[in-house]
Amino acid sequence: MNQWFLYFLKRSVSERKGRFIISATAVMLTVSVVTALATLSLGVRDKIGIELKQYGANMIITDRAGKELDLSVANGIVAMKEYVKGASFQIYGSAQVKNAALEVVGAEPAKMTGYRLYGTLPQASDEVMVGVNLKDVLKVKQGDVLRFDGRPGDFRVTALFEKGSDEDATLVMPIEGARKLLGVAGVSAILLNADTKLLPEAEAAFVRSYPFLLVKTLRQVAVAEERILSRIQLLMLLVTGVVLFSSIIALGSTMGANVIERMEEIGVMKSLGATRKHIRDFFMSEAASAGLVGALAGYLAGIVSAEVVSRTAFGSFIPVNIVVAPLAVLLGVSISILATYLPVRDAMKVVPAQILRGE
Amino acid sequence: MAIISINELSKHYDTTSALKNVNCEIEQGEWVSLVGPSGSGKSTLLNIVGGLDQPSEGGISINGTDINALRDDDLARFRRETIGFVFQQSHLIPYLDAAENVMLAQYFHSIPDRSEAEDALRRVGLGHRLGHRPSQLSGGEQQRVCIARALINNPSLLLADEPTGNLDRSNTKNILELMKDLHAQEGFTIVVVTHDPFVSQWAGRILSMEDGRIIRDEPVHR
Repeated sequence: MNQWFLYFLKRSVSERKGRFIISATAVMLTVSVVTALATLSLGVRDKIGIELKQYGANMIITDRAGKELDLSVANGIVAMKEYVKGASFQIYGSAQVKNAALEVVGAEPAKMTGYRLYGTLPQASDEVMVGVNLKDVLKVKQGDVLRFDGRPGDFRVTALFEKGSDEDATLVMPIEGARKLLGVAGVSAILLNADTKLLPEAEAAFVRSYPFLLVKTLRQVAVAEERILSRIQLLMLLVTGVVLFSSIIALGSTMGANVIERMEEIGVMKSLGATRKHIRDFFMSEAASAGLVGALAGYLAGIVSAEVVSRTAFGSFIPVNIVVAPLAVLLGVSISILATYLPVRDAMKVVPAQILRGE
Repeated sequence: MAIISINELSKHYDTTSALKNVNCEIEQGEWVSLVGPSGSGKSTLLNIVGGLDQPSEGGISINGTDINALRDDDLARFRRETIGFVFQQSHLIPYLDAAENVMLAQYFHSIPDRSEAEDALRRVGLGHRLGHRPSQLSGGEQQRVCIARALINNPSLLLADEPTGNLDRSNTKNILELMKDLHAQEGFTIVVVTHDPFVSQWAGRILSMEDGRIIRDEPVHR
């Protein structure tokens, strides 16, 4: 490749702008769709995983003997980041109200999810929300004050809640309030969102570090979560594959038409003594240029599309995986060259006389 | 010394034969006209001589080289060293200007030289059209660019297929006078395919073809 090769290549590209733009646009469309789908495919696991975690933990850890867990143990588990994607602590105990023994759950306010609330979440340590099944027993409503038998202080009822489980017969309050009320220093249970792909390994690691732990995997949640994520990711990959295949066919037609339109040029070049390498270099370099321009534009368009889709579907931006960028450029240049190579190869097989006669 | 030796050359298509056992020799520096009615095989013969088409049978050697034996890229190299083509349609590259079209032939041969290409165009009377694209040139001017392009690498053989077929009489005469001057100056061999008696008379020798055969081989008396 020398300066004159680049000179003629530049002339061809700059004087045939329309054709160049059509080719680059065809590549851009392909690369943008594939980039958007690839970005979504790679990011969708995290996004949908976050959505699924709203439905609860997939692992519960307690003491095998039913004792409370020391905070250092709880924090030690949470620190095992290779397995733990999210965690919350809970305290369980019972307290009496109007001579009735009631179950009390202390939880972190930020992690109180999945409740249908008739009021607001309790935030302060002297606030509590009451399960709907206790509404008639306690005869309370939002804004009332609850007093526990034999315990100091009043607790304001911020809400009645419904969860559709046994919890509907409990009192739920912030963990600090529960700790004071029940006189518990540690935690009763650790609710984990462990990596669904590594559940057995996580369980083994926790028990290895703390042999006194009882680890229960909520199989249904974990398996369903993994199955949904795998299927969505597979679906995205299949769609990406189908789009890529059909785009290559369409691109091949565009590039093929471009070469057929320039058959005369190939015939002239051969009559002037151009070797197959000369002709191949010209057309492939032009295709690579169109592929590069189209791929860069397509990558940017694809990222923007993926962000728009993510913002619409998940309400947040999807992380841009840097690995997609070189792959997108490589894809654009490769399919452009491939789509041009085949028709050029066929054109070079035709004897020049046939081309120059216009056959 | 013969620059072109054609021996029992035939070209068959599915149901017809364009050339049938053609034999002929053309000497270095000759100007030969190939004449005959449409379908007589004259363009097919010219294309085979130029290595732009393949014979079905027989042999052809140019400057002692059996061009049938050359592989595709070797034939391309031989073509750019030895042969210049002028076609009925100019077949210029539309996005290059006149000088660049000539330089493209230099590029495939060796190294482009703009001043040489411009000199070649001046010699064919196009000094004022160097930067014009083919679409901005008349038919006669386009053929002049083709002649400059064909001769820029100093070929020993110029093959022209109906070079004035699209031109009026005045332009035809101009082109032929130009070819005559260049032929006299540079001494290359010219083979011109034409069905126009006016054009054929500029040659020193006329080969008449009919039904794929050379039926007459006669000198031109002036």
